[in-house]
Amino acid sequence: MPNLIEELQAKQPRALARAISLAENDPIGSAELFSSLHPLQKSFKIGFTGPPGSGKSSLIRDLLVHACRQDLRVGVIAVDPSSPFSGGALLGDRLRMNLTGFDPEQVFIRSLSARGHLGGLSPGTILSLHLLEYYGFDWILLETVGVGQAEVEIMYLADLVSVILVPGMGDEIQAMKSGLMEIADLFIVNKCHRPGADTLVSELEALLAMAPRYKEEDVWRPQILKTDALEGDGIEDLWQLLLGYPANVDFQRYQAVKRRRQIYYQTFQSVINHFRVRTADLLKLVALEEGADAADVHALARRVIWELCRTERRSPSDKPADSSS
Amino acid sequence: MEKQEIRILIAKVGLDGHDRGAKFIAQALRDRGYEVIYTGIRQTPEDVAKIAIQEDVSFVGLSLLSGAHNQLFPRVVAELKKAGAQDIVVFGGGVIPADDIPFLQSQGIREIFTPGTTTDQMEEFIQRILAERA
Repeated sequence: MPNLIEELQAKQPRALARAISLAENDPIGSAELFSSLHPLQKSFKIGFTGPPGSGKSSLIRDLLVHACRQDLRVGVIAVDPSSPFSGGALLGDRLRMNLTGFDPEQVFIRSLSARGHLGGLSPGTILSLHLLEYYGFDWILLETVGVGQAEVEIMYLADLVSVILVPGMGDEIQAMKSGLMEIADLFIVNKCHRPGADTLVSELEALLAMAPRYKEEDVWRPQILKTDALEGDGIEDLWQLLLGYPANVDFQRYQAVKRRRQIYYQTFQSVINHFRVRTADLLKLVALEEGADAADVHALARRVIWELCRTERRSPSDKPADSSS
Repeated sequence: MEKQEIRILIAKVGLDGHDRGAKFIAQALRDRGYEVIYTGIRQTPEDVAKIAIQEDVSFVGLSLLSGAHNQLFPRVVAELKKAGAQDIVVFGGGVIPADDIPFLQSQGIREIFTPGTTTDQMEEFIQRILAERA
């Protein structure tokens, strides 16, 4: 698809939308196709995660209103879950973010289905994020599916992870558990006029005071902010806070530490993505040959691995670009 | 190559707030394996076209029960055309008099679904268009 690359280089808006679809539908081909695209500058990537209905999309809308006033260009990726039965999805984040008469050059919003991926994002999210960065958006806002406790993938994509919580979802033991509560770079207590908001804030403060992790050097200590996305309370504070982070020296030092983990994870996922697709394709063939009711799944797996290794070497397109041979 | 998922935008244009039909269709299509983006109520035709392009959908389904379909539906088609996205197929549904259907079809709305349409009929339409393209 040489045309798509040319259209991307010309930064055509429709090309971006199409490229994201390609990233979703053909991870192997698109990873190769887009490898020549390098962003000129870094976008500030902010993650929004938290339980369903906690207000992630509404908070993003409030920030988009601010961004439009200030001529900040913002790209948004919003992931919603896919059906384990039909494979379909109802992508309903965008309806809370719509701004009447928006300028599509300034605000680009894309809804993605998780397509069965666990972890909070989708198989095409990493590549989509890189495409948005190539288009030069100042900020990229990444919204996960509504999450529970274990979906921490966002930490490997976002510069700053904001965890959105609402009052009334459990006692302090819930806050002390591993997973989601540990990945926050910013806690947002939304729907802050509901009973229990102050209790939640003090539980979070206690959590941060007690965790030995936050006493170490180069560790970013999350702030806690109260908001009400629908009333607009606390949004100005949130906006100012986010604007200030990229220039903050402590935050920059923290990014350098974080970056290594992110590169490792994103590379790992890119490899996994490649083999996930190839495995699915091969498994269909092997299962067909062996019969669908093959008794020994491990033997079948070895057969697939063998086929994978055999055919992978034959594919000339997989030679790394900088390889001299 | 992974499965090519079909993306459909379900949109409410104009000031009509009756969204049960749009939500029903969105859910029915989801249950048939499509990726459905729902805009919510009170969108302008211009915004619907911009959203359709950003979301890279193959179809836009417009729902309207207020009687303004002759004004609003053709504007969505025109906006898509203006943006070079005439390949996106627009269909409509709602309380639409039979007399208006030929006009809407002449304006580029591929199909109009009136009350009593089954979800099977809608899916047949979608599959027919997809088959035409393949």
